[in-house]
Amino acid sequence: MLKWLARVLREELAGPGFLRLFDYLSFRTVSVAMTTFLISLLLGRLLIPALHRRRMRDVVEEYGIVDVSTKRGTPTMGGLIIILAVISGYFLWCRLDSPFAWVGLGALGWFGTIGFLDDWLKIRGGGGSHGLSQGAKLLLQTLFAAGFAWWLLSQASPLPEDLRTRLFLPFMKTPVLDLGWFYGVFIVFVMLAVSNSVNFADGMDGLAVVPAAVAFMVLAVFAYVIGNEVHSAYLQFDYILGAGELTVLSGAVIGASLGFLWYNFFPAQVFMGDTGSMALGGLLGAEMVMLKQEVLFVIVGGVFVLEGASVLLQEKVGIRLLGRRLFYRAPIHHSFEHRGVAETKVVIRFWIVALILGFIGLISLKIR
Amino acid sequence: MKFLFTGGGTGGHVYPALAVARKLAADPRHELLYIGTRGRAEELILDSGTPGAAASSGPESDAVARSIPIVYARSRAFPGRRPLPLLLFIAGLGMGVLQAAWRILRFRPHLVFATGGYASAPAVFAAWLLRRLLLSRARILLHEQNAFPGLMNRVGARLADLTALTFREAGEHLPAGLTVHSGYPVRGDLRELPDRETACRALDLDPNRPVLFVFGGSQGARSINRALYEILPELLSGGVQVLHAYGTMRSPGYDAEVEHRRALERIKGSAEDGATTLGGRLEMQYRAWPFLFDISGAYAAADLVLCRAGAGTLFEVLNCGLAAVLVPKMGLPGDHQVANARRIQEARAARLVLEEPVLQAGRISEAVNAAELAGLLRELLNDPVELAEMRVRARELARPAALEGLCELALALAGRKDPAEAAAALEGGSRRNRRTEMSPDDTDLGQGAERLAALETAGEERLLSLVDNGERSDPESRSYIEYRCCSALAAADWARRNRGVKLAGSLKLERSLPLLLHLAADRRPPALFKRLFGERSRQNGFIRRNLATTLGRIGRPTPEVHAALRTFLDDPYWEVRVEAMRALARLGFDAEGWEDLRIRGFLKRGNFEEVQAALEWWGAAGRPAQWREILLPQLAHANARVRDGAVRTLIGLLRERRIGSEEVRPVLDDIIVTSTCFTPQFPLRKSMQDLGRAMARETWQSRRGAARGPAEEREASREEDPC
Repeated sequence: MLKWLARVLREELAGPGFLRLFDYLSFRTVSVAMTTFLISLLLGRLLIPALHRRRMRDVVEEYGIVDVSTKRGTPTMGGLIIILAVISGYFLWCRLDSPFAWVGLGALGWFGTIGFLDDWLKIRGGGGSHGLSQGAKLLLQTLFAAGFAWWLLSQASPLPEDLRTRLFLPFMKTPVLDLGWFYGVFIVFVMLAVSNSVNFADGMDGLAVVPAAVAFMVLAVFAYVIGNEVHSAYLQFDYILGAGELTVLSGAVIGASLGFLWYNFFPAQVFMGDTGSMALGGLLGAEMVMLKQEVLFVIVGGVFVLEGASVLLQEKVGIRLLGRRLFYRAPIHHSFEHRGVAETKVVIRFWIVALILGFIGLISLKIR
Repeated sequence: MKFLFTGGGTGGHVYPALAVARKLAADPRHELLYIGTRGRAEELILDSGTPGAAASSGPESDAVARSIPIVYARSRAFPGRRPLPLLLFIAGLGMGVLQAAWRILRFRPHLVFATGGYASAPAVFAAWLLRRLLLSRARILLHEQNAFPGLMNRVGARLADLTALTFREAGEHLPAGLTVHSGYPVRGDLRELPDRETACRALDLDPNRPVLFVFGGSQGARSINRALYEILPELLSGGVQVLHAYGTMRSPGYDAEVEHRRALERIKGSAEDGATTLGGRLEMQYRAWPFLFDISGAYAAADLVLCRAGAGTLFEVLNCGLAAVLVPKMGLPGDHQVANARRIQEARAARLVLEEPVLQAGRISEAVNAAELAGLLRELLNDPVELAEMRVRARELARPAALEGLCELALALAGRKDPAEAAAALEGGSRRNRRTEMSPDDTDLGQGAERLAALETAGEERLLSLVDNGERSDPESRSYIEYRCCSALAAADWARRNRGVKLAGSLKLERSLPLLLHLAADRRPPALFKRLFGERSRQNGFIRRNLATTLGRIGRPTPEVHAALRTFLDDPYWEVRVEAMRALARLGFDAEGWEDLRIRGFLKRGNFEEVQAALEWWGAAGRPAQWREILLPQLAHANARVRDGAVRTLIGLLRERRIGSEEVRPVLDDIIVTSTCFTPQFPLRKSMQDLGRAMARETWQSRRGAARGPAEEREASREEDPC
């Protein structure tokens, strides 16, 4: 919106020349990050007490048996802070005509709503309810993912036609495969895998939000390169017109995530809940797909892959099929906790791993 | 009027329908049709009149039964939730519904009378659908035979106009709908028995001595037969006369005829010294048939019956006013025979002996505890007063007019009378099925029934929590829970078997040890894909782990238990090894060479859980003199939880004064005290805790104060306030 305003000011009313700054991706990205950071700080102050009031009825009535060492009763649904901050901050700084941005926001909103429903049902049901059933969750996610895939493969797609159904791998210059219509199925799979694995990672204070921010940071760089004719040619990427707008969106998420982390690191004042983890996962997946970097998630989102894989193996293969555990506990962060590593230590170690994986992801820009 | 009968799959569903059908067929104005499934009991009974298809009432080869035309509709038993069989089931049932709908459209019945069983599904669903589509006006009348309704009737009760119940309590398990307590339609010819003396004479028995009649349906009951052969010598020498219908069952695993002959030879052979007397007694006091064509004679002669608890058998026995010892067949859908038998026992019209799975030649099969059975039979046969009382109560429970009642009900519904009115006419009040409704005179029975039902509908997990919380420890509930535990141990589904193992541990059920050891020694390989994951036994990791725990909890240090736990120490799954160590620590074995070696091995190579368990095990069984060697490396272990465990072991040794503190002092410096784990303390939460306690205390005091009066209250508060 500011971009549009600046242009109007500059072109129609001969405003000062520095307003040209608003046309630059880098400037908008940094500004939007700072904006969303501030907005989420502010939202946190307002929302956390409000959430707490809503959740109060859920707190143990017998204060005599309050557990002194746990965080039960901490308000959840803090993901609302991220979602609201991203949406409002991004609207200030976005290009209004970018389909990438609108679809990205759509993913954020849709997956956030699924998570919100899940959280809402859990809270309303007290200890007895497990929220949305797994089937319902998967169905709702698939619904979006299928529409998204259809849009991306149709004529309305912003992707160049020769790229649409091609599969790229990190560290490879050229596409390895043309998946044809199967690419649509692949997109659905990627969306489900990414959003759910981020959801699994959200089990400790700050565990999901920092690796997610790192992944968005890497994606911001990728989007900048891919959306820039010169840079993409230099680094031998296929140029995608308008993909640069995803840099701004990623910047918005990074800022909002850091603002949320302000309240969320140990001991947390608010949990992001499924609202936040689903929303972040949905947007992450959508951006990956739109930038044709789906497989990069295995590296950049390595922490999430580890979490998701551990849950899948433990629950489906181990407990359901074999009737034994494959890990001490799943998701894997609980396994470390079980082995006597404190929560804070596990979380920061995961951050370190996420950062290193982020670096490796960045180097795949050059080594290809 | 036109009546469509349906029901089947097993004979238990066919006979009640047939009893009503026959009665209605006596009137030539009525037209009848039966819909069943091909190849099941209904075909045998109605189509060819083959004798011995099922149930005790014998061959239905009479003209009337054959004169009822039978047609077939496809149906199959509900396969559970696995997707592929479920799909086939739905497809098959869909076909069946179409077939049945066609038949209904052609026949245009006034009433569909369904007795449950999956064979009745097509006709019931089709009748309901057609009525919805205004293509048929047939009413639907269901009859449920058992205390725990089958799946079909639980679904069908929603669609039926009226559900007639044999046991009133069955209504608790049905969805909202109109139910009426009708009783079980026992066939007409059984209601007039010859008198006992004539019957005895016809069977060449002495009317002055007690007669026990043993039968297990037309197929025979293996567990009853086997238990009977075992206690037969004792019964005979006690002067009891035994009538025995051992059944026509012939299968690869069991042939009733062959086993009968062998058992008699064994009995004759075993009593060498008194061979003549026992042989003579067998001759004089024991009558056996594979199948008893005239069962009424045996009923008339018997003082006590030993039989199964299927509804058909049960209500024949009750109608004849007989005292009975019931051996319900285990593992049937909903365990309905057990449910039936428990209702009758609750009303004290019969006694109950539960089957339990036992090991016979390496295989699990159901058996009756012969000693328990013998004791019970002896007690009853020597107590004519109790027998007489049981007979009276049996007559009270039986509803001899059930057949006529059901026929009237069928006629009324077919004549388009309001179902509620028809039911009221039968019972003097039908009931909308609601759980809370209970008339005052019902209360006693109702509460008892609720108590029984609460356990029967509880899953093993619920039973587990009941046992762990020490609830339901009365002997009757306890024996039922033990039965459930044992039957779960023999279940084919691993999750149930696993819960059975846990339940055995919570119950500390020594009786189940042979079964548990059998499971522990099971080396049969699992399905291929599980083998690919390194699984070696059909008893999967969770089961083996819980077996180890349970063996420890039962706490019987026999050599077999130790051997089983020792093999568990080499298990490929770490949790099994861990629990085996804990169990061995619990069982308290003297430290022998092998144990010490194993402990050292685990301490050196195990994962941290194994190291922890090994430390516990060493703490329980190790030699304190070696503590430096064992504990010092663990006190500097890389894992903080292991170091913690080692320190706790040290504390244990000090407490028991197995080592002195002077010995410990020098090593304190070597313990790595930095810790990667901590438990946070949130001061505000601590204060909340204190607040809660203060509130509870205040509430308690003011309540006491209110009870005592103000003057005493002051005194009380002085007493209780420590500050």
